Amino acid sequence: MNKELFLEKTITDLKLELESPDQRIIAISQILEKIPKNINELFEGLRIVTDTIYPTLEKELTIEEYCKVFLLETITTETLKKIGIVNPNVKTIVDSNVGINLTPSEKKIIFNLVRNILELSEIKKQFEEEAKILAEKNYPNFCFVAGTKIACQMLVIAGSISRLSRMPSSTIQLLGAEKSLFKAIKLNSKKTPKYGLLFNHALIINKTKRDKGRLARFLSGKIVIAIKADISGKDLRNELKEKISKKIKE
Amino acid sequence: MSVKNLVRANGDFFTIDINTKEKRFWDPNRSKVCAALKKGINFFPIKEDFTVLYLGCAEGYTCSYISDLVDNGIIYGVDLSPHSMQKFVLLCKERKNLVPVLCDANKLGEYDLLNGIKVDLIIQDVAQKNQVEILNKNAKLFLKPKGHFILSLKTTAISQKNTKDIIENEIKKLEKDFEIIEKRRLDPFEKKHIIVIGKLRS
Repeated sequence: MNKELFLEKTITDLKLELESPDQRIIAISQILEKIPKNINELFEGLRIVTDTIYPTLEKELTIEEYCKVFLLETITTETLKKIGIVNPNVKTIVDSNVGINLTPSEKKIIFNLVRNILELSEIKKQFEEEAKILAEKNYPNFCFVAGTKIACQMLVIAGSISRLSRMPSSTIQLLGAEKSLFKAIKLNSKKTPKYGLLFNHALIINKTKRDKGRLARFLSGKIVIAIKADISGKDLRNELKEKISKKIKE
Repeated sequence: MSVKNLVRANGDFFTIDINTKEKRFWDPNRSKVCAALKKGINFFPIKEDFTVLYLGCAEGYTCSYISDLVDNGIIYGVDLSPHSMQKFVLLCKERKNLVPVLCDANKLGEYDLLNGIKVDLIIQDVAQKNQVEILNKNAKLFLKPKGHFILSLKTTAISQKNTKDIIENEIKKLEKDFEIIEKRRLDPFEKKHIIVIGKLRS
């Protein structure tokens, strides 16, 4: 018995498993699930103060644009154009002069808070890009059929690509809807869920309720084929594209 | 319950000093083997020079206490998860009689380095549907004749039905190859768990 051999082998096995692309994608997308919550909470906190300065401004702008307005020293149509805001309503709200005036020290605090929110949203973008590059490089067929975002979320629930590849298509169809499925089984009701994560798929989201269930069933079958093609290193993108477009025409 | 400590006191563990001998506190809420001892089992098959195969070691909480009990022996800790194995490897570097094995407990026969190794005791703590099968398979491969086993059975992993029926069923399966010496429910510490101690029929 040689303990050193065991230690060496386990450490190399550990690194092989943790450095594999599916584990990296899972780690990144787990972080990605948490960042938007933080941004929204901070944004709500910011609005407690800023609503009294420029009321109803948040209806016209996205979160990032809203934050950028508070980084400006003087607000004119030209400076607004520089940060990419063309909406004329913004200028009228700013000029209406209904809100309160802040002291310089208060302005400084809000300035810092706004910068924090913008930084967080920048980090979020970087992570999204990283996950997209990794996923599309290693699993091209899977990402083509399911979409990159849904593919990453499915990997998180399954735990690894090898476990996902062993799942039947009916399981993949309901991935993400475990809670409502087990509730339906427990109550013996006929209202079982028809789709889980696939609800957000670009092809399914704007269909009628009847077609949603059908397409989810069809797509989950194609996803199973795509995952197995990725593992064996084949490229089936053209064939899958034909089949999917044929089904949609029906 | 407390056990003498082989390694100097670590910051994470609560330690007591009695007559210059260092002792460590063993928490029955975290370890099923300790819970069984606390419930008062009559037979506990561990001696100082045993070699032990521990299936499902996780981060090595229970393993570290058994390595204290087995002074001159060796303990092989088997686990599948790479994240908890990282912590176990750190523990192995600290304690000289712990050995890490990163492998599925179902496929331990394919692990080259374990070939031809025989052990005196198998401790199994993997909450799986085929727990008894895993024990049978590994006992055929690694256990010495008349070797012992400690099995902690999680009934909710097998099915959600009546606990008593499941336990009867699983023990019937066990009695084909093993002679059962002791069995006890771990009720206040772990719900719907049972610990079974037995011996291989030669």
